[in-house]
Amino acid sequence: MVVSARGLAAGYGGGADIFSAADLEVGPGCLAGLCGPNGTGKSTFLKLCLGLLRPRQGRITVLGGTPGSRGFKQKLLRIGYVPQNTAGGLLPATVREAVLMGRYGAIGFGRHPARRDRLAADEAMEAAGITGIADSLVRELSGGQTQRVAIARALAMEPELMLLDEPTSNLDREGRIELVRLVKTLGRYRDLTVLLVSHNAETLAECRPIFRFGGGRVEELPLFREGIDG
Amino acid sequence: MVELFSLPFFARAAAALLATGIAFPALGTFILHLELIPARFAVMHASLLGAAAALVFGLNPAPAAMAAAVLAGAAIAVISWRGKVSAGGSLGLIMTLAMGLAFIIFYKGKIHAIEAFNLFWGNVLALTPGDLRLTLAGSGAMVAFIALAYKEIQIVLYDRELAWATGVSARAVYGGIMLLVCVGIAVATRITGALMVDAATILPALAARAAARSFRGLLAWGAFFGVVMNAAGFALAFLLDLPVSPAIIVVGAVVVALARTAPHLRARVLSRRTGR
Repeated sequence: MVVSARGLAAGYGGGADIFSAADLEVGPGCLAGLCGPNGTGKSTFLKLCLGLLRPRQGRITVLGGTPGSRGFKQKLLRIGYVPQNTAGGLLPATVREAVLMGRYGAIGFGRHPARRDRLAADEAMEAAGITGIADSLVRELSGGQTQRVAIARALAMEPELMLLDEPTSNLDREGRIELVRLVKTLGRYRDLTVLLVSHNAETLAECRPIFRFGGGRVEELPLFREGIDG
Repeated sequence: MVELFSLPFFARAAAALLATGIAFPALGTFILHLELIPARFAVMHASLLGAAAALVFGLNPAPAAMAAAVLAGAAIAVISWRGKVSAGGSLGLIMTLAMGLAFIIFYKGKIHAIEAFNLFWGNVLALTPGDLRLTLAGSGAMVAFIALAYKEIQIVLYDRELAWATGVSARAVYGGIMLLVCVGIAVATRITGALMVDAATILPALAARAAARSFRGLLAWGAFFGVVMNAAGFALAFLLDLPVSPAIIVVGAVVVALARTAPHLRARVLSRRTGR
């Protein structure tokens, strides 16, 4: 399994668990959907996958490692993450620079990006359809374009697993369809596994399996339509 | 004015202003982008506590103030990393606790508070050779750290969470940045005084923000504006018989205003030309 969770519980600070006793498994090459109302732990689950948050209970393994453990840093180099907020603050950075940032962990401390890194960034920009705006400043882009930059940055890592936190929220219908098509194509050619958080029924319709978060629990939906209606 | 450079105190002041003009605006960039403005106040108050403790034991208050600043910086780094924000509440606690403890020490140690507060009135013309060495070492360390960890600093300033997720040692880099900010504040305090630390750090960074289109540009423009502000402020102070730090601040404020309005003015001129 690429992602495996058993009896997982998570929460922030002294607050109650956002979810508990969560069992979840995602195999290689899957495009898995995470859905459910706001605040039910979908983004929290992605943070657990990255080791940005430690589980309160239970165990999670990602790419065979335990997130947050000493050796997990090497696994992080194989995980592309697209956070919900992808604006990048006020720091001026061109699209090309922002995409190249995805390679920084792999390049290593004190080293400069090599030709191979720049090539990977160029390919990722092409795949995300943002080559034409490579020299624009990220802070001057629209929400949809910024999201594409974040996706390209994750792709530049040449990941085995991608964690996408509502990547279609700022995209129009065409953009959403295009993105899902891109992710599915990459999945097929690179054996990429994807965990995708979305509220959009059309996007989730492409996902198998789908996990619904809500009421402090996580459940796998047996049928897509039943899940959305429920 | 050239012959003034043969005076040791004047040469030391010029060297310190040149070094800090180049290196310290980067600190301003870090402070602005990591939202460390409240943190730098907390660091200043903690260094007051360090100075107070040193005075009680009859030690040199300057190194004690710097050590306290570094310790406070380490605490702030841990708190603000966990909070992923500027950790305002915790910083308020550190700030007020440090002041409270400092005043208890003043009272119990029968020390005049003004003795410790003297540390906070820096004077670039009163720098000792030791102060200059410390300033040059601090500035050199800053430039070296930035050169070595350029891309790591860039991604941490861009988005800390993202830096972590891409496998960058974001926490260590963040700690390094905090350490530099603390050392920088302590050094700048000797030169400009605590209340005018912004002259060396934030003002040139603000001007650079208006002019730069990349992180590299931010650092380069910051260094340019830092040197311009320090040199012009220093010259103005001598020509008009003004105190140096306030003169640098006034020049800095004018430069920031010009840097911010210049792009708008240029756009207006261009649109008029194209309108014709």
